[in-house]
Amino acid sequence: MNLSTLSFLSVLMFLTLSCDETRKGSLPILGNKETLKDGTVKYHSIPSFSFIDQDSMPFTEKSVENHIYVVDFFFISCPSICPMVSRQMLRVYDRFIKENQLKFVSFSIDPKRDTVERLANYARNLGVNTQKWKFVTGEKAAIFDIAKAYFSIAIENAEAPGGFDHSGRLILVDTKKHIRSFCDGTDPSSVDVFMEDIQRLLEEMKKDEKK
Amino acid sequence: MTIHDEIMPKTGEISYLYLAFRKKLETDSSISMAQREELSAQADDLEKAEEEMMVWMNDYIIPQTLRDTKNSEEIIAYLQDQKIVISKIKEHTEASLEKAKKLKKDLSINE
Repeated sequence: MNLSTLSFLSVLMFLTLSCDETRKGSLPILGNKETLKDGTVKYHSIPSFSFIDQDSMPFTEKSVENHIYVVDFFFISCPSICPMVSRQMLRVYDRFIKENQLKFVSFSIDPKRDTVERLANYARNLGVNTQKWKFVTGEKAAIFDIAKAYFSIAIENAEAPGGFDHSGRLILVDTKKHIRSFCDGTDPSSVDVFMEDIQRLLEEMKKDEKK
Repeated sequence: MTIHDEIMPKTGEISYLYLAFRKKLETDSSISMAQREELSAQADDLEKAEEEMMVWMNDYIIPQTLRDTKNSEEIIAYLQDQKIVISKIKEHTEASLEKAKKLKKDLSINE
């Protein structure tokens, strides 16, 4: 075994151990970060927003205050990917149905057709509690702007920023508006890992409350 | 549905380009009248392409539902018609995107 092979194996071992350590500790904060002049680090966070929900009630950052939440982007008439993602969202919802600190938010990217009445009907058909899972609509430009904020961490290909809406990603946001995890909502195994991340974040919250 | 699945991921890209073009038209007074007209026409075309796709998806009836009211021959005829419609939408979407991307580059528009 030559020196370069040994070095490579050492680096590989270090990375493997580091990854294991990361998975055991608290979830990382995802997205761009910036070090300010005073040395503090500013992480990517979700800006303020103002939309309406399936009951025509305002839906703003206040609506998820002190909660962690899972976000997806969908539209009701989507015939292929969205139904797969909705099934996975339902899985996540069912698993954490008793966790009062977790909410779900589905933004419609087709506000022209997905009226509040249609969203309310969609929620009824899913059979979910709309206090826990909100279906949200608003101005199209505002929805796409907020989508950029949610998906800035998840877009691998900067040349195709518009691909997000059909990527089927689920995003996990913490109480400080930071993105902590995301997954491919069409892939059940990816969602399994995502649910473990939700569990870790909930435990993190509970530890913080005890302090 | 295969044709739809090929073209559908581009719908988000269309929306972002449309919004970027509209923003440019509203905020940049330095562009020439000719550029303004070209940008406006291209934004309209992107919007039209996206709307065609959204309307098609909204109106499309899955074969399982059609079975309640139509026989096999009628279902096949319906699906063949839909294949023609979605193929035209695909052509329009791809052509509109190609033109829009070129214009975006020419006018140095940021999304």
